[in-house]
Amino acid sequence: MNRVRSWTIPVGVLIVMLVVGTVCMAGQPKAIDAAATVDEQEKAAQAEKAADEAEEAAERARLNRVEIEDPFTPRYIVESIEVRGNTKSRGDMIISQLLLKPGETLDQEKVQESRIRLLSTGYFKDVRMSLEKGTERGRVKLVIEVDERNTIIIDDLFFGWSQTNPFWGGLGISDINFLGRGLVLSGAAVASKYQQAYRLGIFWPSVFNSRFQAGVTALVSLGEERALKDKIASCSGPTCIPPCANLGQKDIDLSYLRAGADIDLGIRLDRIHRLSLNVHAEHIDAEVGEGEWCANHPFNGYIRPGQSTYSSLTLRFERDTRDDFFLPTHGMHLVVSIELASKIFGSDYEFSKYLIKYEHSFPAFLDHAVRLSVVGGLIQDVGEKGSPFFSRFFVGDYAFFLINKDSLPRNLELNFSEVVDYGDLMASLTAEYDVPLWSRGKFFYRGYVYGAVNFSVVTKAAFLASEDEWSGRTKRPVSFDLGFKVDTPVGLFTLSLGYIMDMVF
Amino acid sequence: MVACLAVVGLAEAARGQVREVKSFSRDMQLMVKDGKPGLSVAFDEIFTPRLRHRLSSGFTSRILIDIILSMSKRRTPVAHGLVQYTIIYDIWEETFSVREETPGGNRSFGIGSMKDLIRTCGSLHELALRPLLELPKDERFLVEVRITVNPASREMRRKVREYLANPDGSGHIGSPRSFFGSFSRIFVSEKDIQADMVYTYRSPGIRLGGN
Repeated sequence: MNRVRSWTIPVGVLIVMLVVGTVCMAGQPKAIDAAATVDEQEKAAQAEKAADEAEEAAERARLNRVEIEDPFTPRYIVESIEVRGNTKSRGDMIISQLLLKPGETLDQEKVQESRIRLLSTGYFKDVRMSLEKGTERGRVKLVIEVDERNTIIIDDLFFGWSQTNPFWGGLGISDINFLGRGLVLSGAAVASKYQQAYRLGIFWPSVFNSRFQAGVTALVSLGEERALKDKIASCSGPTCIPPCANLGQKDIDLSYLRAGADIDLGIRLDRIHRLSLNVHAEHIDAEVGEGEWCANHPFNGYIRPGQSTYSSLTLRFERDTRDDFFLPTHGMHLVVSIELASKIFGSDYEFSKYLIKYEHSFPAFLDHAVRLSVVGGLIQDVGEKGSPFFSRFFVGDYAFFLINKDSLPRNLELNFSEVVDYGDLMASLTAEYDVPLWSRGKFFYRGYVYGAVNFSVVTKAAFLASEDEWSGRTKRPVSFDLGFKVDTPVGLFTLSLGYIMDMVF
Repeated sequence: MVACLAVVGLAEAARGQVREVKSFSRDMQLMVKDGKPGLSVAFDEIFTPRLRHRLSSGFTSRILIDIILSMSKRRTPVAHGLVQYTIIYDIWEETFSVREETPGGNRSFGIGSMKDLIRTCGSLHELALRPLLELPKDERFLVEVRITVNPASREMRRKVREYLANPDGSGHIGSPRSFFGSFSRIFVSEKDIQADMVYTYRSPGIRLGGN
């Protein structure tokens, strides 16, 4: 082998010399002939220099992996990324949202998708991308110019009146880019003369730019459920003695304090699937009043009197294929959740709660849309006071317009209506027809009117089993709504005629 | 043929909502060239500061021009034209490379300045249209020129729709309604992604070879 190699190298060198010599002789005969003149010597030197430079450029291009096959889709190397125009948002937070990094080959599709991703954060009015020269040909600096926008959003506006709460109002506000780090800080408060609730939370939508999400929320509420005396059932039979016999002579209150927190941990499995785990713990101090054990007591079985602890774990799965969050015309939204409260978690309440929501959108006449949704829920209690009343189903949370304020929704889990009946079985069906009105406004970006019909039933599973009368069963399960929804820079708003009707009648 | 279909497909894709939509009334010249209808029109308004920035960004841009010639009375389309310019700015050479694609063929050329680029791509000069019907004589015609800048591909629109669907994963089962309450928030709409702009130019009623 060694002998073969020792012969091979000189032969190879000889062949190369012959080839180079032949090429030089054949390719530059005029240069050799004209070498006598100085000018031509200079020209030859310049040509040689240009050839060297071209070779160097080609080598650099090769090293940079630049493919110049199609000048309309150049493949540059991203040498650096620079953010301009940001005053509040941190540059590293903006860069962390990009789908490409320095050192990678520039992919225009990724650049475009990154731009949409930045816009979808809600931190910017506009995002523009451009390229600038890098340190050498084939290398570029990616420049991101952002126009920041207001990131303080109104989440909720609460307002209403009823016989038990003459007036209540409240507000929920979020800063979706807290400290310029992409954190969501949200706070909400609602209050009437008798009830107040406060919520404060912080949410990290993408933990270290990963698929994980995390958040903490604290809730404090001072509640007072009030059963009006004319709605309290009278007792009968041999057990109808004071204090049970006296119930119904005056309004009865259930006063309570709740102070607790939620920890949310989530993961985006892919673009359309999410899985999250919620850990909940709270302290409750409730005062139910005399005769709480009476069968006709309006708050019998609602909550443990005195101090108690409610803690649970909730697992939630979500699939979202809707084509638009505001007015979807295609796609579905499925949410399934299971909550478990147990002594294992230190809870005085033991129950399991199952919820499923399915919503499907269809295109309709012209650019209209039809949306059908189904929500179902079941609570399995361990013992009579397995679940606290505020974790049970309330028909107002699902139904539309019902006369007599039967359907006022709860705000921050406080019930301001005159109905204090809760169930452990819930089914709700909704059909909605949407008609877009405009789509290119400056402040009011988009808006549409909707008409909807709903069928909601909240009842007690025990009632179904025994067929006993239950005061809380839904009297009129069919409800209607007509309203208007608008998308603005400070949030999405709904003006519901059904809600106004609830208030007035 | 494939390129032509792709151009038609992009024209269809661009009919959705876009960031900037404008319509203009514009005088145009309609003539007969080699037995086919031809059109001359200028539309340099499309080169807004925003588009100029985009064209100079170093990224590839596309300008799709879709022309429909129809009879003035019955609005029956009688001829059709398509042109697509693909433009890229070389940030080292500081020149533009332009590829012009039409159903009749493609050509590529270089342009040294933005001014020349606007002069070249901001107008059509005697562009031959493809007849769909025999052109009636003594008839007045209407011309609609629809210009779409950077129409998004189907794949890109699919990807972005997922951002539109539920950007932050918020939303709760049976969220309580409120009197005048915000229930969620969105920041990107389809108008941001379908195309950068769509400008439409319409002619008054014109005759072949004159007004």
